[in-house]
Amino acid sequence: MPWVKTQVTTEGITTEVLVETEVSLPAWGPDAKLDIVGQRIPKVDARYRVTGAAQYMFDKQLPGMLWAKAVRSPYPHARITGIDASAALKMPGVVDVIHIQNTAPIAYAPNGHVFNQEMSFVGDIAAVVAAEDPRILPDAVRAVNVTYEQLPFVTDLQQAIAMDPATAKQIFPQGVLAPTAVADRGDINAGFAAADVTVEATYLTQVVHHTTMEPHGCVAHWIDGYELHVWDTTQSAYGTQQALAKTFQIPDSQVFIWMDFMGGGFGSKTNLWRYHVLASLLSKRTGKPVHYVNDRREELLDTPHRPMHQQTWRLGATKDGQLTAIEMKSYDVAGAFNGMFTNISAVALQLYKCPNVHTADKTVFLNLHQLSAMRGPANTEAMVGMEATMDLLASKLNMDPVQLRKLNYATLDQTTNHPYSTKGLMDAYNYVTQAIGWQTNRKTTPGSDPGPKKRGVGIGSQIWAAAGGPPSNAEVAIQADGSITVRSSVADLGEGPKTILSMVVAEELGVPLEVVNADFGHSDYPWDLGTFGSRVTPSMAPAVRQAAYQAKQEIFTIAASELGVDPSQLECKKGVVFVTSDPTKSIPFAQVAALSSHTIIGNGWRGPNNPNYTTESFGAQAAEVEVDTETGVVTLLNLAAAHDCGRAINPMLVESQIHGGVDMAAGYGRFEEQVVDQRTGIPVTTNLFDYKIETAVDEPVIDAHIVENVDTIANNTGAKGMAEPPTMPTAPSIMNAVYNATGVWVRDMPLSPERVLRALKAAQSQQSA
Amino acid sequence: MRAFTYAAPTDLSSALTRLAEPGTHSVMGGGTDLVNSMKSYIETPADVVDLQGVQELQTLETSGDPVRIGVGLKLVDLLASQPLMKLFPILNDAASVVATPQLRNVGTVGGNLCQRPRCWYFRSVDFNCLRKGGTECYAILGENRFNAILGGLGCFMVHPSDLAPALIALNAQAVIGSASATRSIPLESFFIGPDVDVHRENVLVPGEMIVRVDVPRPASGQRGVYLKSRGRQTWDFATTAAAVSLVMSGSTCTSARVVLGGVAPKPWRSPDAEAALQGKSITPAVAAQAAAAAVKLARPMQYNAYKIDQVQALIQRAVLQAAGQEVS
Repeated sequence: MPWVKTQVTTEGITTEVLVETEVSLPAWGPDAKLDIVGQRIPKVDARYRVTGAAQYMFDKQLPGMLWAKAVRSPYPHARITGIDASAALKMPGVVDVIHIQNTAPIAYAPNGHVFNQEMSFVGDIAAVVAAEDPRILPDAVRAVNVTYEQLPFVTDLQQAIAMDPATAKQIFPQGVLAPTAVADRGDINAGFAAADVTVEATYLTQVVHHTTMEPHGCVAHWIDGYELHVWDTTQSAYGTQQALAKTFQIPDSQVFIWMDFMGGGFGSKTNLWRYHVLASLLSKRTGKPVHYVNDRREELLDTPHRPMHQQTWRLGATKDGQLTAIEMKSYDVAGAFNGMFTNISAVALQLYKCPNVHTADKTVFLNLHQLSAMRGPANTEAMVGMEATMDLLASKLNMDPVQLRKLNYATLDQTTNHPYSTKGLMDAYNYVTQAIGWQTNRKTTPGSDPGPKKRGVGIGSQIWAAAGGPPSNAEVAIQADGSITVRSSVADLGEGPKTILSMVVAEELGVPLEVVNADFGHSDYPWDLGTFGSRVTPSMAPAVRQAAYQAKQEIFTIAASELGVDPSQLECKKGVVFVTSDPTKSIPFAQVAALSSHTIIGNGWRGPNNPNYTTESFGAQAAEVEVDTETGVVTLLNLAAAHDCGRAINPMLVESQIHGGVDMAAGYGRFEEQVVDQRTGIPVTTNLFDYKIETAVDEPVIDAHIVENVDTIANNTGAKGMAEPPTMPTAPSIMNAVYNATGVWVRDMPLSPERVLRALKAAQSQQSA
Repeated sequence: MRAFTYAAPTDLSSALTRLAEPGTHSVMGGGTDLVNSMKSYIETPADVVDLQGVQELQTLETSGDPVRIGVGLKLVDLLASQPLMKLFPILNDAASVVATPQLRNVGTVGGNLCQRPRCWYFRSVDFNCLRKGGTECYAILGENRFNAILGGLGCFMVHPSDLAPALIALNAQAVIGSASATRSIPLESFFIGPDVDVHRENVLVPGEMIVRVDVPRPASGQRGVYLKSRGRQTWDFATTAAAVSLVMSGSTCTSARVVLGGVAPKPWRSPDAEAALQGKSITPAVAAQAAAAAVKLARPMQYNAYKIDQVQALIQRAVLQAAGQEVS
């Protein structure tokens, strides 16, 4: 098939990919008669996860295996002046200690090298100890004597903004503020000039951690000159394989990344991390397998996070509510090193119809671990500012906030002028307002409930690139007994690709789901770019479908010869191949498989995206809160969520994503934050008690609704991505609901009791002043 | 953690004899605080005495006066005792909001009373704070949103126990045992503030342990309420808490005990609040006056002024509920 160039937008970043056009298959449209796809089926591996049968990276035990742990900088910015590991090496069971003085430099982005002379954040790695027993490690790590010269540091955003450039250059060579990244549409000044009403507000959205249940780390076994085997927890076995091979300058073909079960990633496990390199290096040096996994404190110090932003939004509109100007200026905190997803301009440019938009993003460097993508990066944070300012505008216009949104509904992708392949946002608004009881439960006068406990409702929206795209590849292998193996490097993070992709394969082949086994997460299988950006369903579903189709053609060729017909006369359903016009002429699928003398393998890949359309997922959520205005506690009573994901291959799993996303985002809105002691630069939320994740008890009743909108322009399965979208509208809907309940804006996240009380008190003093 | 020896005695006398031996000892109830503290090098005992097998510490006598509560009783055991919960509903309020069900299944009364502070500077291996033997209290100029508004001096921790304010409101006694003697002191006096000793939270000296809590039977008309405000709805310590025990005669309060949690380095008894209630007919205005009196001397730190308003709300609500009035 011909090769073409196609645009792929993942996590808001667009790249061009050269890809082979896929085999053309009839699209599964809204009326397609499907036996398995569309059914509510529990995850095929759920039982193993909840019973403890599932083996994770941490469980890997190999003979002679060593355990590793890092010696970490206690200072936010320091130069190492000496390393003395002699005391540690004398401890029984301690086998090796590696650091900058006894290893050759290994380039590692973005820190420069794996071991650096300069420590850039508290928790930065100065050395790594390997020992025969993990219980030796904490004391062995303490026994490594590292001396430091402390250097000037900054961990406070306001301090960085105010810092003079000369001081800033003492901390980072590039200073603490990057040049502003600007995006413009139309003429922003003309836009505000044309506005009858202008509103402006500033929001502070906090650092939150991924807190994957399964920590970061790996087990590496490097037989030098032969192969490097890594049992990993990764969102991209393919990416890690390539990056690790490149780091050590060995061929990709010698590096194997294996993963079976994984306990969460959320964007924190998409890269090569230092533990991959360090564990591999230790294994090479010692000749033994090395187990290197973070403890929870290390998880909260030395893994990335959702960045902090200080966002200032200004909206201008006519008195009838038509937006004339959207302006967003944001300080985006990268951490000690730059990363992707600091720029949060996409929401301003895309969500609402507006001819004049200006965004300005300024990256800020602080002596903290750098950011990474975290479930819906950039859009989750920007949605807070966008949606709360829309409600501020609605209140100034004396207009219903949902009405304002509908009035400014964008029917086109304004950044490309392409139509959307499908857009279910209107249905989403209608569903959630109905479900939350918008008419009865919204306070027309915010804060009007008598008594200290006040209720209100608020809305939030989302938009997110959900087309997926290449590279995504798979093979479907038909075993001699007719059972099926689906192979790809794609990672199942726990959210269920093994299930839905097995369903697609079973559907396309016409066999029962039970005979399909998904074998994923191995770098030596056909590779998939990675599980992030909500890309797996729309990228891998068509890929496995094609692979199944190709394998099926071979089955039909064999069956046709057995039945004395042409292959084009055959179909397969429920594991039986039969002649469509005469079903009595049939042969079981398994029997056909047994006849083949070569392994039947169908290859599939995700072809190009449609260049004439933009494919996004859309959704809305409405929250009902009760605010105890005397204690500051915000209780989330109900939350309605409606998301347009194209076809729901498995509605149960889509709903599961909605629940999970809302749960995470409810914590983003109300409890979770990284707190740093600014005088020392040391984070104080380095355990799962002080870093407050929401619990099941805190969660609202969630009404999860799928806006089914089969999108066959997007790909031939009709499905769009849905992994990240549910995290985006929640915090905004809570912030808006708190305003509706109290009449007071709390714009400093999370909306914890102390922040709510502070805001209420400030509003009270202003009123009496 | 530091290497240690371990003993699991089956009678109290053996436990106390062991505590009298030279060297540092920690007693362990359920271990839910001790083990973490040892892993963080906050506690570095040379010897751990596991009390889980000492039956004498797990007795609960509810028919006499005083009611006797063994410190080895788990919180779940307290909650499961209908007689105890009926005698002292305030204990039901307090015990039921401690931690999580899993922790209540393991954690003991003694452990709850003797637990170390939750101040994140104290708990973190990255800070050697004043209480741990260092030279500085980092909360003073640092992240102090959860720290003290009353009773701080040098150290500004807040005492994390939920049971302590409730038991002090009930005028409980702490029975302290050692190999040589047993003594009984008001539970209120069991706790000490940084003005007495910045390194420990109670009066126990090496060789001593709390063995029992004795609670006088309730007077006629005695009603108590414990209210706790926290961030999440489970597994969270109090940002502020109020334990109020009133003896009511009709709508008049004949005696009051008000003890605050989450605001001071020890459970904070408020004689000023009590004076504002004693002899008065309880109304929302009187409750508000008592609350204001309780915080009259409060001194907020940079980020915890909200506690002053929050604890007043809890005191008002607890007073009105204890007085038998419905609160919204």
